[in-house]
Amino acid sequence: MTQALRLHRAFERIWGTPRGWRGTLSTVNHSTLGVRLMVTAFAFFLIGGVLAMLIRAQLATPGSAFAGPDIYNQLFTMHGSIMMFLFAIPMFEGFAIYMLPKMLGARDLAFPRMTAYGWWCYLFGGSLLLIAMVLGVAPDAGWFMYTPLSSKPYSPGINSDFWLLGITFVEISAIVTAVDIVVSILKLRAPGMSLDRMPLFAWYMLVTAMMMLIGFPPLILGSILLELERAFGWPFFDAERGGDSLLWQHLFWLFGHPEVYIIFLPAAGVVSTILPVMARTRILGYGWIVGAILALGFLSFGLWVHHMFTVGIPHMALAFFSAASTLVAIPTGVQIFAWLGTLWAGRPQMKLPMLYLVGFFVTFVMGGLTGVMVAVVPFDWQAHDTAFVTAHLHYVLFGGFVFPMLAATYYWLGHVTGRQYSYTLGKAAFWLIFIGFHLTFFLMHIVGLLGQPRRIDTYPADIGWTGYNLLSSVGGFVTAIGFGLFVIDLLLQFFHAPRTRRNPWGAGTLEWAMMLPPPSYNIASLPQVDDREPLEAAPDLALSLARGEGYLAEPRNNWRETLAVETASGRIDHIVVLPGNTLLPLWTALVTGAFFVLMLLGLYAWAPVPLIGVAALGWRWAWVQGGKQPFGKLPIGFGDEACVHAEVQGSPGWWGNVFFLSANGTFFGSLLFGYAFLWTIAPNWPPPELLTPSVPILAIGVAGAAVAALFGRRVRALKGPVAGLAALFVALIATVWLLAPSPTSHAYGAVLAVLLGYGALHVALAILIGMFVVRRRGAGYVAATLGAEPRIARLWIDYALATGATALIGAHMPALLA
Amino acid sequence: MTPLLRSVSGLILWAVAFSAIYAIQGLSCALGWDAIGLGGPSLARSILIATYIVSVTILAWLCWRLRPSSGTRDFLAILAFASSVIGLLSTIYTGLPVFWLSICS
Ligand code: HEM
Repeated sequence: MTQALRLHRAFERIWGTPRGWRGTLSTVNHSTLGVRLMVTAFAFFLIGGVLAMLIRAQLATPGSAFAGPDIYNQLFTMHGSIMMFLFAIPMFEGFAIYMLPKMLGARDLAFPRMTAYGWWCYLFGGSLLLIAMVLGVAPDAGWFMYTPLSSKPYSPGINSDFWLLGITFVEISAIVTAVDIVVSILKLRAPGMSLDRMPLFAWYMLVTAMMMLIGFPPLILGSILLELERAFGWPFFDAERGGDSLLWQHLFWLFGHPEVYIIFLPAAGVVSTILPVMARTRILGYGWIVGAILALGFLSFGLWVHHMFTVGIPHMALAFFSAASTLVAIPTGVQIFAWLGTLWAGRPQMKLPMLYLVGFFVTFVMGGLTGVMVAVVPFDWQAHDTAFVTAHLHYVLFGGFVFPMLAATYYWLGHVTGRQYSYTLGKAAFWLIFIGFHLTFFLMHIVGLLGQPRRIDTYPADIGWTGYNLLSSVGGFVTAIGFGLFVIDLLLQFFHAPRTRRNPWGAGTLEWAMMLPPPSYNIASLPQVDDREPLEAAPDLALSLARGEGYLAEPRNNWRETLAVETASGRIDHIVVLPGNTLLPLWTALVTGAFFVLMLLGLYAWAPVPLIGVAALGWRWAWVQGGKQPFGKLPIGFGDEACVHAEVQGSPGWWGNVFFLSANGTFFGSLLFGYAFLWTIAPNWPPPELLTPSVPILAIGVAGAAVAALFGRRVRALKGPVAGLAALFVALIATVWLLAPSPTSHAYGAVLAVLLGYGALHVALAILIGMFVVRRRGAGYVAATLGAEPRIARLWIDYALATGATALIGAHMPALLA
Repeated sequence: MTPLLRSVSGLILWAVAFSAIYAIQGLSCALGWDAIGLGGPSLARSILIATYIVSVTILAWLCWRLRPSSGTRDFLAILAFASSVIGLLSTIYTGLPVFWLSICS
């Protein structure tokens, strides 16, 4: 044991979080941050739950005077927004942040400082919404914020701005976390863990995080456009001036429908992880499930118009989306059959997590059935915007997300606390939640079919809805009592339960191959993996890893080391040296927050200041990484050796930039879609006045882009390309400033301003990154000479010149042709 | 990374085909192509059907390209084949409306 203890002390010194405030604020440890995210998300769940109780209190009786329509609108908008953006997404993110490195046999995520930044952004953004609620100016236009309801003329107050800015702030956190998760799954795994040996949960999270990178940018774009309209009068959604409120609906549902699957997939991943353990067997059909979730990831994007059935879209377009809607049922079905088959093949035990999984099954399947009903167009015309839809969406979200997460809580609680589950309160909580939930929402199907619309604050006594609503409200309160018990149970568990033994459920995945609760560095050495369930073959893996009988067992240079593997095969690729605790994420989040607060307060002239601050902090963030001394190949154990990430081309940083830019590319693509959509579909087009085309400016820009594209590519020289980008920048700015019509007069000018502004911003960023790498190279940093930094700069330059040139040409062409 | 990309190429192609068909449908209505006759079907419908056939052909070719050698146990190769088959069937199914439904009303 002395060897294990010696290693523990040595690793704890490197990876631990110092005591006191400074440690709390500066930690970048994934276990700490994962738990923080989950606790914060649960707090938001409780707040959203209280709002739900207020809603049910209001609807319990006809003609209730408890809340007027104004307050009622705020209640359901905040309930929906909190549950979707501040509870569900951060909850599974926190869970993934905590769990993924442990399941994959790594010591942390790929970008620990980003993990911390993500949490702070979420906390601050969520707090903005809470402040709005306390001040009584909470958003009130519904969780999907349809324009024109959310536009200035109908929502003159600050309410909608709180939503647009607060949610966008939280989405920043979602994007950086998604990049963090994708790169960690693809690169930071234990040696030998090829993709087909990866735990299923990692596949689910890989698909989920990729979907977030594709799905969230349209929403962020929509929010930015709507905020620009509200703040500066740029008419993207105002039909009078060439805008179209359908554009908002497209952008929102491009995000919104995949969002449902983004929430469901991690929960399904939890089910696929817990269920085989409860059934004392392995999951059936691993390959089928991977295929199904990949298919689900793609097909779910083909559904967005499904939410717009009733807005007068041609039959053929509706039929495409109807077809896609029926199609996604197949991969979901494949998963359900895999689960049933696993239960069938195994010897299931009705332990507490299993009970919650049964709750999930029953509820989710019913939600699926009502989903098929609303996917049928004629039925949807009937049920659209009634309580039936509210009931359906809660069966799916509560059944598909809350029940699995409750199962996860009871399954992994001992992992977090290091204590053994020893109360029976969890069972009582289950029955209260289950019965309460079904009472509440089953009745809402019926009263919906009787015609009760959603989002009404009151209803007359004489149309026969009273009894259903009263019972439904009673059900709501029963659910709430169930959650009360659940909270008490958790507290008891934290403070009273005896210590747990290792691997209490006899599971096979790597997160159980460590001390409980897990130490800051997870594992004192990394295992060699040659099976999907490494613990099955080696039940004592935890001990041997703790004794240092694996990779990277000797701490060196005070480095936080973990291994990166080649994506598909899981062969060792290089050593990743992760950054230590720092206050940079907190500062960056605070300065980011300053931007959003200034926008909210309408101090637009000041808003660029924090943006410059973010750029400066970003510079520092990247600068403090790495050193000037090359190390060459270093020993990693078992006679193997590898370079550190600063000296390789395919470092996690490179991949992080690739995935960030793919999300960014989706943003740009959505913007082009918006431009094309307005031009072809919106009323009041063509615009009264087009841009004044200028061939010289166009030529300067295109020539600059060509120089940037062609020069220095082979030798990774950056100065030539940067000079080319500078010309492109000038052309873009000149086009907005001198040639384009005013952005306030017509949506055309507004779209051009955003398009050209986007191009100019990215060109400027690429110039900055290019200069950064030139400076680093001059200063002799290894990552900028031998490593990936020049390659990353090149990537940004290529992205910027492509988008910048597209924006420039896209702005000029129609005017030149006219 | 390339094997992973290959293993979703069929699905990516489905996404491209689906977006293309939807975009062409929207564009044709905006530009009035459904009113331009080409003897039989309108210009809009002809373009839609052509796009459909091209997409299905490409995906069928992809399935053929990615067919796993018999007895292979390479997970990603099987996955690549499976996703191209899913992509093909999905394209055939989601694109079917181009043949008969009214395009612009
Ligand atoms: C205790 C459990 C819950 C109860 C009693 C409850 C109750 C309600 C009710 C009555 C409405 C309809 C308001 C109206 O249309 O007038 C509603 C709306 C909504 N709820 Fe829940 N809810 C619960 C949990 C959840 C959860 C866990 C989620 C998501 C993860 C969620 C997401 C939503 C959304 C998105 C809306 C639509 C808001 C809108 O129309 O803008 N709810 N909820």
